Amino acid sequence: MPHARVIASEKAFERLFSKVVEKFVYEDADSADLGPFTAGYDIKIHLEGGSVDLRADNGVHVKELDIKWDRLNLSLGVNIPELCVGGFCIIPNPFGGCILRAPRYCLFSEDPDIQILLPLGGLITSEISIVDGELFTRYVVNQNRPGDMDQWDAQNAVPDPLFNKWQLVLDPRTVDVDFIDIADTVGDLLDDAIEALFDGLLSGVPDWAKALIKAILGPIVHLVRVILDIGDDIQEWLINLLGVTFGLQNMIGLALIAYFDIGNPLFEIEDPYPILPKAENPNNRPNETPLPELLPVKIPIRDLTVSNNDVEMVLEGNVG
Amino acid sequence: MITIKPKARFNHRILTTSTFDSGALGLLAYVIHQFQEGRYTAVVNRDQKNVGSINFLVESTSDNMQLMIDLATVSTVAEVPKVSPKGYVMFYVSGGEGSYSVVASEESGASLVFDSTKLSDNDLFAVSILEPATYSMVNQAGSATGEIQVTPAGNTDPHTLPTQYVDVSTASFDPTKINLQSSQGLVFRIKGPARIVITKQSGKEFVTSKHEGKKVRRHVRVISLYRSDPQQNIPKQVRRHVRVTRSK
Repeated sequence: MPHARVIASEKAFERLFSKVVEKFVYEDADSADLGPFTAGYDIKIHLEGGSVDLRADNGVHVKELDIKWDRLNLSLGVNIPELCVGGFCIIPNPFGGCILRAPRYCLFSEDPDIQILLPLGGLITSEISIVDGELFTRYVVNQNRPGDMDQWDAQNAVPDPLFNKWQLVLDPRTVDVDFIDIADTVGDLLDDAIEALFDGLLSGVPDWAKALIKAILGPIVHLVRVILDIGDDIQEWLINLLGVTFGLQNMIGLALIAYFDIGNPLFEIEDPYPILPKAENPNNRPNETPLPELLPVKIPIRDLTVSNNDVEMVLEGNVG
Repeated sequence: MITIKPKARFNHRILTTSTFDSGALGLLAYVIHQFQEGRYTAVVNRDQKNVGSINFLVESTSDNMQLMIDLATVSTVAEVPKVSPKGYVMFYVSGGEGSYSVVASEESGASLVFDSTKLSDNDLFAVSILEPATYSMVNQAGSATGEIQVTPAGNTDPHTLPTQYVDVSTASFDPTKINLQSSQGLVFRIKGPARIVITKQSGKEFVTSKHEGKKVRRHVRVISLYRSDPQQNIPKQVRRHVRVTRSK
């Protein structure tokens, strides 16, 4: 039978979890040459909400943890192909081909490279679930503590004590990352960006000419969509680009796993554990030199384990 | 926020060309003449001022069927180009404000054989009109008049549009009314003296379309396979397993 047992309700555990997860922030940026176009992303996320469910099989589930996109900028670089007029056949060859052809006039000094930045942060709905998390404890030896330092010296070390710690850690093990939806308006956002692009590119040109060149280009929205290989479903294309091509879902999932497992325990306690903290000497008298402080009373903890059922988390350990 | 970074400069002048004159060539207008065998000098004028000349050779030993002479850069041409007497010499303008004309005579200075301000039998005048509008066409060397209606190119690749032809005499155009799509080629076949002038009369507007999307979902499962060693405080390695499901 263990010497000590601490029990926390599911609600208490959820608060413990929330305190840790609310500090999770993941930032990343990258770009890739995808052949006909280049694409890049710049993201920053944090997590909110979620409901914790302790399971009878010793598992921990966390559902509907919302991914909040503080920043999700997608940049698309497109090389517009040569845009020329003229070049028609003036005298056709009756046996095929053309004997005399008009010269071509190109509308741009060179193939225009355009870059569109789409702020998608407010348009994507996504969430994370921890499907079969598991709690475990681990003993962490203070790496700054010399091997031969005893507990007293560790307690009195300057500037900070060098005691070891017990940590309670959540191992997410399996994380589901869902990109649930991208708002319909993303299509209009892209189309408007393309339209705005050419309005900028054609600044100073009469309105009829803007309309004309867009018509010549096929129209331009369609042309850029073809270059980007969007097809008729831009939302699926975007989710595929972010999720598969860039692997953002994998990276977010791995980041959350690493966050909990490596650096962020749900809580930690020092070992030996202070059952009475150091305190002012109660025998001090007014107007007299203070007596030495009372030393903390600490007990070493060993064999700390954690388990849970569907209503509570149980920590058990021995003293000695 | 939308950031747009276009690099290439747009050639505005191409789209602002709305008058086409065989005797004062500018962008998107070309005159074509077939020369007999011999050595020729083409003198280029702009607004009645000489801006340069070029010599070219028409000889039967040449297999070049198309000699293109850019009136805007003629003074920079050093070599003497050649063309077959079965081929054609095309005078055009690659850039600038235009208003070029050209006269060609035998190099010996004997006789004038071609004058772009006075086209003659079997010469060709070709144009590519971009701006959707109604244009008048006039043969200033005669009394022929007509009308050209240019409509937007729509979704059709302009390069696939067939060239249209008009026969020109001093008295008439045949046909007298032409319907073109923007940038579609138009060729005037000259029968008798001609100077073709095409002038815009009126323009019109047109628009493009938008798109619709639909709801998608992408699900990825990430699994870590290796547990850290609690006693050694070694961060565990993680490996990912991806499971993707999609629903619409």
